[in-house]
Amino acid sequence: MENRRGHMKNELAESLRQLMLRSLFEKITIRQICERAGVIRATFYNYFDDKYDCLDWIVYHDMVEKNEDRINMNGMDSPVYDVLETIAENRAFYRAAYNVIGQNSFEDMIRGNLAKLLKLFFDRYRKPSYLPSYDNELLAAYYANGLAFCVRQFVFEKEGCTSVESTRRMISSLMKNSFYDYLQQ
Amino acid sequence: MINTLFIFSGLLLDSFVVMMEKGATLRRQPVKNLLLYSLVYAAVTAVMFMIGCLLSFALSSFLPDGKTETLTAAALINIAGVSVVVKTLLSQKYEERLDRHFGLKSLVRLAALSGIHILIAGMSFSLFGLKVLPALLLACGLFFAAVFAGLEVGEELGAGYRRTISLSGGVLMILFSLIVFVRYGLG
Repeated sequence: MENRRGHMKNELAESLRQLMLRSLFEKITIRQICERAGVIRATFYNYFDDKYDCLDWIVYHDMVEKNEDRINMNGMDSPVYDVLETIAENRAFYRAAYNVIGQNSFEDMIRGNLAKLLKLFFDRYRKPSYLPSYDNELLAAYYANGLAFCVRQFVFEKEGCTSVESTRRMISSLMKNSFYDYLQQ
Repeated sequence: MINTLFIFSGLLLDSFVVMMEKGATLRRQPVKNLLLYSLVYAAVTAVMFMIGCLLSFALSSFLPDGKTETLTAAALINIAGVSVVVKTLLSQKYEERLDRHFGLKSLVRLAALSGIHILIAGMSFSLFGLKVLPALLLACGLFFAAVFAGLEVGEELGAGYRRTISLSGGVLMILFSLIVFVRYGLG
C-alpha cells in the first residue's frame, strides 16, 4: 500500500516536473498534472495539498529522501555530490523552478529542504558539548542558506563550465572554514 | 416565465462558478455529500429569495405606480449584475488548494454570501409583478442542479473559465435590466 502510494506521488511529481519544462508554473493546473500522470483530478488531493506542495516534494525527493542513508560521520561530501548530480541531470527543471517566487518561492523550498538534510546530519553526529546554546535547527538553517546560494549559482552556470566535483569541493571548503579563516592573522 | 429565467440565469451562472471553485478544492466526495451540499445551498438560496420578496413589499409602499416599480426592479437587477461583474474582475488570483475544513457550516456561509445577489433578485420579483411561489420553487430546483453541476465540474475539471462564466452571468443581468429600462422607460 505504502509502495503504491509512494509510486503515485512519484508519478504526479514527475508529471509536474515535465510540465514545468514546457509551461510556466503559474499556468499549470492540477488537471494537467493528473492528465499527464494518467489519473483523475481528484486523486491529486490524496497526495498533495496544491501544486506548491508537489513542487516542494520534488525538492525533498531530490535532496533529502535520496540522501538520508548517505549521511555519515565523514561529513556531507557524499550527499552534497549526489544533490549536485541530481540538479545537473535536471538543470532545465531547476532553472524553470527558480521563477516560482513570492510567498511559496522555490528558493525557500530549496533552503527548507537543505536545512532538513543538514539537521539530520547534526542530529546524528553533532558534538552536544560544542556551542550548546545553538540548537541543531538553527545551525541547519544557517548553513542551509549558504548551501542554497551555492546551489543557485550551480543551477544558473553555463553547462560544462563548472563540474559537479568542483562545486562539491567549493562547498566543502566553504563549510570547513570559518569566516575568520579567510582573514590575515 | 422568460423574465424569471432571464433573472435567474445570471444568478445561476454565478452560483455555478462559486461551487465550481469549491469543487476544485475538495477531495473526491461521495454523491450523497454532493446532493446534501446542493440541497443546503438551494435551501439558503430560497431563504434569501424570500427575504428579498419581503423587503420588496416594504419598498413597494413607497413607490407611486407600476411603472416605477418595474423600473426599480430593473435597477435592482442591474445592481446585482454590476455587483457580479465587479466581484469577478476584482477577485484575487485563484489557487487550487485543498480545503480540508469544508463542511456544511462553511457551505452555509458561502451560500449566504453569494445569496446577497439572490436577495436583490427576490426584491425585484414582486416589483416586476411576477408570481413568487412558482419562482421560488423554480429557483430551488435550478440552484440545486447548478450547485451539483458546479461541484462535479470543479472536481473533475478544475475551475478554468470561471471568470468568463461569472462575467457572462453578470452581463446577462445587466442586459436584461437595460432591455427593461428601454422598454418601460421610453414607453
